[in-house]
Amino acid sequence: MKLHTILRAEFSLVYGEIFRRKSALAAMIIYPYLFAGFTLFFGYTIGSPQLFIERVGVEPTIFMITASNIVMSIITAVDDVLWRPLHDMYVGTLPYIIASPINKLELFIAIPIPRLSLLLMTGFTSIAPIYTLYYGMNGIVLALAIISLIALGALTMSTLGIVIAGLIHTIGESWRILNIVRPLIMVLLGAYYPRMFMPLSAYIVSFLIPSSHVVETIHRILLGSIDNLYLFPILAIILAFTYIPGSRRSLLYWEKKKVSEGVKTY
Amino acid sequence: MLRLIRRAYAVFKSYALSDLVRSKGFIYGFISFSIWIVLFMSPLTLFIDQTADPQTVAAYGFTAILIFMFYGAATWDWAAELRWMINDGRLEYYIVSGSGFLPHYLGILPISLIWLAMTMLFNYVVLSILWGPPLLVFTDITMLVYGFILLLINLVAYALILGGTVVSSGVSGFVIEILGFILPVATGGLTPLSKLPRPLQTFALLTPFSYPAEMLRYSILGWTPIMDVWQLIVRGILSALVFLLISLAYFRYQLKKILKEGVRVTALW
Repeated sequence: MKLHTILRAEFSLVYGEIFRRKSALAAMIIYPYLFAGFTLFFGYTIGSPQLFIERVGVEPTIFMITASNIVMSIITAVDDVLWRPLHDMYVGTLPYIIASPINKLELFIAIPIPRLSLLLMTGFTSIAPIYTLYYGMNGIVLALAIISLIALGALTMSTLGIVIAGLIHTIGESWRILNIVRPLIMVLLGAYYPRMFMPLSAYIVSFLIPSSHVVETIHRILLGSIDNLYLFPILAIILAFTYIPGSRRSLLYWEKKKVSEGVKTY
Repeated sequence: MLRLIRRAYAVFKSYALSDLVRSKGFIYGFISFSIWIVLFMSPLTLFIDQTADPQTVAAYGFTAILIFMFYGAATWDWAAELRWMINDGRLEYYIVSGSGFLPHYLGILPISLIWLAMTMLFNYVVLSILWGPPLLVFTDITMLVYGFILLLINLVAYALILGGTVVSSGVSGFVIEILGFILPVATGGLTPLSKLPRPLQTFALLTPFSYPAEMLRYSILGWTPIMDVWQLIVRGILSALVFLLISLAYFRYQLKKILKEGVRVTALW
C-alpha cells in the first residue's frame, strides 16, 4: 500500500468524524483562544503585560495565541501516534493492523497529517485575526509565514513522536503515560515559556526536540531578530531525519512484542 | 443501610485496586500533575515583577490550582463518570438492579478526596521546589471549613447538572473540557474577585461558586474579600442551597427522561 493511499484513508476517517461531530470542530477553533485566554487572564491578574513585554519582547496576546496554536498543532504529531495503537486496541482493530502487510512507518507518518491539516486551518481563525488586529494587512503575511513554520514544526516532530510511541507501547500500554509525555513535550517545546529562560538541563533536552528549533524561529520572527534565522529550521529537519532509523526500530520492537505476546483485550 | 455501606465499599475497593494499585494511577497521576503545574506556572512568571516575593506568587498559584483541581474532580470524577458508566453498560445495570447511583458515588468519593488531598501535597512540594514554599497564612480556620463545605455543595450541584445533561443529551468530552476551563475562571474561582474586570465580577457574584472561593482565599491567603465576611457566609450558604435544590430537581427530571427515552450513547470521547 502506497503512502498516498494510506493518507487518503486517514483523511477520510478523520474528516468524516470531524464533520459528523460538529462539537469537535468547534472545539478545535475555540481551543487556541481558550488556552491563550486562560494564560493571559492569569498573567494580567497576577502581573502586568508591560512586564511581559519587557522580559519577552513580544505583546502577550500575540505571543500566547501563537503559542497555543503551536502547541496544539505540534503536539498532534505525538498525540495521534501515541493514541492510535491504544484506540485500535480498545476497538479491537489492532490485530488486523499488525497482521496487515502495510508499512508501519508510513502508516504512523500518515496518522497525524489529517488532524494536523485541520489544526493548521485553525491558524486562520486564531493567529490570522489577532495578527491582523495588531499589524494590519502585514499581519496576514506574517500569519501565513508563522502557520507555514508551525506546519514544518509539526512534520519534523513526527519521527521523534514515532520513536516515543513505539517505545512507550513496547514498555507498557497505559493511557496514563500519555498524560506524562504530552505536558512534558509541551514544556520542552518552549512555546509558552521560551527556551532562552529555561535552565541549562531543560535547554539541552529541548535542543533534542526538532520542533523546538522551529518554535525558536517563530519567537525570533516575532521579536524581529532575523539574523541566521534559516539555521534553526535546517537543524530541525536534520534532527527529524536523524530520528528515522530510531522510529523504524521502535515500531519493529512494538510489532514484535505484539506478535510474540498477543494483543491484550480491553 | 448496611447494604448501602457494603455496596459502597465494594465500589471503593474495586476502583482503588484497579485504578490506583494495578494500573499505578497514583504514580502516573502525580508525575503528570507535577509537569502540568510547571506548564501552567512558568509562563505566568513572565508577567511578574522579578522583585516580587516568590512565596506570594507560589501561594497564589497554590490556591488557584487547589480550586481548579476541585472543579476538575467534579467534572471528570463525578459528572463524566456517568458517561463512562453509559459506555460500559453500568448505568443501565444500576437502574435495573434498583440500587441507584448513591452506593457508586459513595464508593468513588473517598478516592476523589484522597486524590485531591495528595495532589495538594504535591502542589505544595512542586511549587516549593520551583519558587519556595507558598506563603499560606491560615487567618481563619472556621472560615476555611465553611469555605470547603460550601465548595463541595456547589460542586456536587454542578456535577448533578452536568451529569444530568450528559446522560440525557450525550454531551461530548470536548464540551465538558471547555466548560471545565471556562467555569472556574468566569465564576471567580481562580482569581480574587477584586482583581476581575467589573462585568466579570458582577457575573461571578451571580453564581454560587464565587463565595466559597473568596472564603478560601481569605482563610488561606489572608486576602480581603470583596464584601463583609458575614455577608459572604450568608450569601454563600443561601446560593449554595438554592443551587443544590435546583440541580437535584434537574437531575431527577433528566433521569425520568432517560427512563422513557433511553440514554444517548456516544461511541467516541
